[in-house]
Amino acid sequence: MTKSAVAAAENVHLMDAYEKAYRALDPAAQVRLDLVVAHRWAARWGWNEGVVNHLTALVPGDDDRFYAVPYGVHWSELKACDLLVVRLDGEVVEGEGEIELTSLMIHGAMHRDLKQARVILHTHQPNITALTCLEDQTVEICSQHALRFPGRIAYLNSYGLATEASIGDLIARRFRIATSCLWPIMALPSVGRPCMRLSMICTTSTAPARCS
Amino acid sequence: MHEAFDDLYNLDRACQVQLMAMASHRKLRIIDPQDVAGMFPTMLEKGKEEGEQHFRALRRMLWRAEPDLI
Repeated sequence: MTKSAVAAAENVHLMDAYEKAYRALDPAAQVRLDLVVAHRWAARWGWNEGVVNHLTALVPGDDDRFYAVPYGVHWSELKACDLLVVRLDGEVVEGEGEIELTSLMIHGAMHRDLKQARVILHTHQPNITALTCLEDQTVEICSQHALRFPGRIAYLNSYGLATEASIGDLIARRFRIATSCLWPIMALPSVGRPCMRLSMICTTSTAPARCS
Repeated sequence: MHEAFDDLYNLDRACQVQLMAMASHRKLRIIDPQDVAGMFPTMLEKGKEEGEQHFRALRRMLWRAEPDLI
C-alpha cells in the first residue's frame, strides 16, 4: 500500500473508533454528548452571546424534563456532566447550578408545547442577526443553502423581553407551523439607554411544515 | 440533533451569502418558485443525510481535540 493509502485506512479506522464509542453510550449520554458538541462548535463559530442563549434537548423517553446549560457556564467549556436536568416548571432535578431565566421562559414553554421538537437551538448568529436588523428580513431563495428553507421560516415581529412567560408562549405558538424561526425582538433597557435591537433564531428537529 | 444543527448551519450560510450578494447593490437572482418546489424534497432528503455525516464529523473532531467534553 502507498503511504497515502495507509493514512486513509488509518483515518477510516479512527472514524470507526469514535463512532463505535458514541454508539456504546446509552441514549441519555448520547444526547448529553451531542448537546456539548453543539455548544462547543457554536462557540467556535461565534454563534453564542456571552453566556446566554441556549441549546436544549428533551431527556430521552421523557417529555417533561430537558437538559440545559447551568447559568454562567460558557458554551466552550461545557461538559456533558455539567448539564442540568430541568423540569418544565423550572425545578432543577439533577446537576449543580441554576437555569437562566430566559432559558426557562423560552425553552420551557417550547418543550411544553412542542413535543415533536426534541432539540431546540437558540443562537444569536451575526449573519442571521444582521438580516433581522433590516426592514425586510426575508431569507431570499437565491442560493443552494436557502433551498432548504422555503416555507419553513416563521417571522415573528413582536417585540418584548424574554423574561416574561408570554414570550415563550408566543414563540411556541408560531413554531407550530414552521421548523425554523427568525425572531427579531426589541430589548428595552429599563432606564436612560437607547433601545437595543436583538434577534434570535431557533431551530428544531420537527418534521417540515408549511408556514402560513 | 444532527438535522437541527445542520439546518442551523445552512441557515447561517444562506444569510451570509445573501448579505454578501446584497452588499454588491445588484439585484438578487431569486430562484424560480417552480424550480424551488421541484428541488425542495430532494434538498430535504439529501440534507438529512448530509446533516448526519456533518454532525458525526464535528463530534469526532471535537472529541479528539477536546477529550474533556465528557
